Amino acid sequence: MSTGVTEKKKIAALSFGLLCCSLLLTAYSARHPSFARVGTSTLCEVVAPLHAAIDFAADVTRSVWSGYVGLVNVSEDNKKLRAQISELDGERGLLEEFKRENERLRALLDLNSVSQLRGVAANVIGDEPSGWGQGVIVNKGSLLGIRVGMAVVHPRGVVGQVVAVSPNYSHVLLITDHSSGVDVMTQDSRVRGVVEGVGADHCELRYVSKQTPVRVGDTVVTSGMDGVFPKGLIVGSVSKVAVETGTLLQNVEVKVSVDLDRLEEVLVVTGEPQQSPKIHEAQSLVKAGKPGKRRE
Amino acid sequence: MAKGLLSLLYALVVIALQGVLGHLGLVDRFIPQFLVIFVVYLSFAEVNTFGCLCSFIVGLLLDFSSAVLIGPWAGSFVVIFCVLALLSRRLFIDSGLAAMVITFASVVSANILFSLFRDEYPAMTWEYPQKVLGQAFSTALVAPLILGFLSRRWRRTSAAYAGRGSSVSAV
Repeated sequence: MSTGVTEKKKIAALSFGLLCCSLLLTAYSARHPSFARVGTSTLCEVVAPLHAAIDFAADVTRSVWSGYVGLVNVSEDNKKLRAQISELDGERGLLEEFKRENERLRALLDLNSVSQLRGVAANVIGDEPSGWGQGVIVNKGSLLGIRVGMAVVHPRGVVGQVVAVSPNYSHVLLITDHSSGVDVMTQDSRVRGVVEGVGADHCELRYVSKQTPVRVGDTVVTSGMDGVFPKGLIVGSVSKVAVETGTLLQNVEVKVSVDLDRLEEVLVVTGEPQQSPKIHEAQSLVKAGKPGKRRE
Repeated sequence: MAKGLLSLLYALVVIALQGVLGHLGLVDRFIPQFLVIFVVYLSFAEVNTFGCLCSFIVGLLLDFSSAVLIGPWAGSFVVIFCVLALLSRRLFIDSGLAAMVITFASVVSANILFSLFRDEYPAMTWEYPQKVLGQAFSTALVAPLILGFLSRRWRRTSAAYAGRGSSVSAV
């Protein structure tokens, strides 16, 4: 009995110690985000292959199932033919998958050429496992030039930001996460603010005073002022505007344009937007002290 | 040592699985928190300092997977372990219903503690309680199965470990 009591005292003492340790770690990691990233990068490298393996197994099961289920009632005489059809069906399912993937990647490439963004296309292989944060893991890492802080986009708009990188994988914090913030403006009225995640499928546009006109349906785009996201990328649209008495600011809800629950491919922006040859030419003329034509 | 490695392996597999379940289409609100089940199991099967340390490390791994703050899950898991371990002589998880109720309460408590650690409760929306309750419900549903599985695996590892120990002492 006394041994049990001693053990329980030990547990209580150790728990208290570990609890204090957790509090210190929380405080330290809040002040030094790089501390959290080191562990995350290592864990990413260990866990991501498991993610990929489970994902692959699920894909294979899905394609085999879809290829096989229509052939259950074929007669015994056609066993050979059935096997062939099953195989072909499986292949067709895979080809259909490839076709769709191709279409999505083409959209990413279009985004790349239209917005002149330089980036690395990556596949989403898993979600953030804790269930609280909003994040995804992608299958490209520092070996392809991805660094912490880089913007992550999709043909439909902004996705988030890279917060941890390992050689082959990256952890992307989605814009809907609590810790996320993007400097934005409304496309028509050019009202500036910061879009912050609230942990749900929408965000909130903060620091918008009551006097500034914001309407439901206004498109919200990045302002480029935060130094992370290039200017003009779509973030979403205003879905709700509420003005409360006794406050200086209005509550604006923004519906994110990208369906973050169904992300498959994303573009990690690795460099500044490429300049068009004309701009480049003009800049070199200015540098050389030869001003170009002025508008009269 | 064997138990420590087994715990680490279990935690890593579960973290990967939890990450993939959402990606495969399972609604985020109903993804079970398998690691909480593991902590519940430890608090009944390993009522000692090893169990306490193990809960802390498992929580740390989950913290690392979020890339934001290190410590909130570790602290929450330690508190859950401590409370359940101190009550372990008065509680029984042999019946499925009891396991479900204890797991449900543990998931809810762990999430409340987590939010207190992160100091984010003022920013919470109504979706948070919904999500927590959904996850607690789905975790409670699968808890009897996983606790049964863990119980068998753990006992086998313990037996193998004990067997090796006795043979060494015999030599």
